[in-house]
Amino acid sequence: MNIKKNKLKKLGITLKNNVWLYLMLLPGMAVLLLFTYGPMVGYYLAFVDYKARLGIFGSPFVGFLWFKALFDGGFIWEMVLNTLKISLLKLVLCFCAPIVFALLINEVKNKLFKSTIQCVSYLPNFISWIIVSGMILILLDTDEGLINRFIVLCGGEKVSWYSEPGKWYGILTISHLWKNMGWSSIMFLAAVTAVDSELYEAAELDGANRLKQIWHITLPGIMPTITIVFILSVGKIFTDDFEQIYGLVGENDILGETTNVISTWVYKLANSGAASSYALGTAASLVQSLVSLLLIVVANLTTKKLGQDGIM
Amino acid sequence: MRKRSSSAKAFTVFNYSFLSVLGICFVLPYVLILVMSFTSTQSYYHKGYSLFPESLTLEGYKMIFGKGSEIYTAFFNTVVITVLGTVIGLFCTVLAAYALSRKRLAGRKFFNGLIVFAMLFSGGLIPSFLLIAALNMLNTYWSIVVPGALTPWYCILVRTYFTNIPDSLEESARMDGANDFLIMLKIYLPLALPVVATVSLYFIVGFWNQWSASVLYFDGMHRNMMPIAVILREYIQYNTQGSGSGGTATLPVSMKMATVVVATLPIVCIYPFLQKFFINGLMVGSVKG
Repeated sequence: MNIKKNKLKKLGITLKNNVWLYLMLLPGMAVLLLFTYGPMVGYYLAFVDYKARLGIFGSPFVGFLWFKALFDGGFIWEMVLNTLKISLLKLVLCFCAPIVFALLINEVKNKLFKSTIQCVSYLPNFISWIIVSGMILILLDTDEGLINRFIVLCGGEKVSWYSEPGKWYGILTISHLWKNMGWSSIMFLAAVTAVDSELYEAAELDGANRLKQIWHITLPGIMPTITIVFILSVGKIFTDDFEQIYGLVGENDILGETTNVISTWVYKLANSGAASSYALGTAASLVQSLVSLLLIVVANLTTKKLGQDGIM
Repeated sequence: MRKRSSSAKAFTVFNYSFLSVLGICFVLPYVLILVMSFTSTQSYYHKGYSLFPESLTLEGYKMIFGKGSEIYTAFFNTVVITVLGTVIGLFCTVLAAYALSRKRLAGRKFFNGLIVFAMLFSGGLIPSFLLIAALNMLNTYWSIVVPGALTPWYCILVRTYFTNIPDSLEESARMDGANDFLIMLKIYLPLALPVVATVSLYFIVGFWNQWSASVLYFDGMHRNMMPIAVILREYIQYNTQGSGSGGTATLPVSMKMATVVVATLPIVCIYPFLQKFFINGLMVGSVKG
């Protein structure tokens, strides 16, 4: 009894002494709890037969009905498959390119040239996908676009880019590469500069040329960074890039075969105010968030096992 | 010996030319946008999108800066959202980060855990929408600026920075009877200015570029509150989908592209700072997450 009292008293004193700290913590935590954790509680919506006038927590509970509908109806598979295909393409191309880019930049001795290339390659990271969609329009517009005019000039047939779904695997991957390559190379470039320069001098004496030096010294030197970035990218494979797909494609249903992913579908549901589909959409979100969480946690555990710090 | 130096030379030549081509690929889209914003409508119908238009015009800029243009309001909305969002975001993030950096804060592990978990798992979009609606925040700037005010990643960046400032500074100020808030404001904040600058820029770029929340939380009746990115999206998507709100069909291409320029220009102007401070943030983050 006495010990308990003492403990309470102690807690009271710490709270009193740190009252300012808790006041400082309050606004941020209030926002986080309400707007980040609130919608997590709101996942309950996926388990009810939602009626707007009853609210989420007043609507009748239906268990896993919506999840069954999602998987039996089969239309979640198309979206999952699209997400995985796009992610894999990005992983293959957009993972290797920044490494090569960083290695090449590191070989440049002219400082002005080096910083200019770095400067222009980082800029796309800071503009929104809406701006990029304007650029892509200039390139891909069916009648007036630069690429079609070039194709016609070479005697080819116009391609109607905005109505051929298959082409969008490439368009999404390349635009992602354009926007992210420079920025992703920063981590690798930092790792490259950290490699011990004495190793290069020794290799030089042994008669190794530059390519050999890159292969035998630089690459092994940055291997830890490459491994972490790779594992973390694999962890994100189930997360789709909503801003990119919805920014570039929008409501274009013709391209849906390629570009329908869970996040864009759910967004369309929310935006159209189709309250009767809210529960189904939320079920899909929950499945995606849970699988993403699982993958990211596994990826982090793997990096930790390898003796590196993950993001956690 | 000679062979090696010649192969090294070949590599250097290849490297410089390859990177130059790459550099052009990075710059060209901006140049195209800029040129098209000055391209006259006749030239567009005749030559289409082109780097070398037949005739130049200012009509696009005249239209968007003309009387009654919706771009004025849209631009103003973006500025309001960016300023409000950055101020509120910094307020919540810096205060919380300081509190979390103090080891004597009971429950510190729990609060940190809440922040980390928020990075790994996200609530549903539809529940978020219903929450904003239930709070009567639809069609207000608050729906855009408040929900992201405590972004976990930024909070962790600032917290890490505060943690690395020696505690002895705090103790001497405490002797003088200052409270935690004053200590942070007068001693820690000035020392943490680099990381605060980094996070401010993250907020500025994020709010300047945001559009998906605005599309979701503003209805058609509140077009006068939408940021420039949303208006721009409508202009551009008319072409890519052949449908859209009636008037956009007749918009000259120079006007659309001038809008792209106006929406991008502020980012390009603060880019020198962005480059410096963003990379700082990236490095701090990668050393200790």
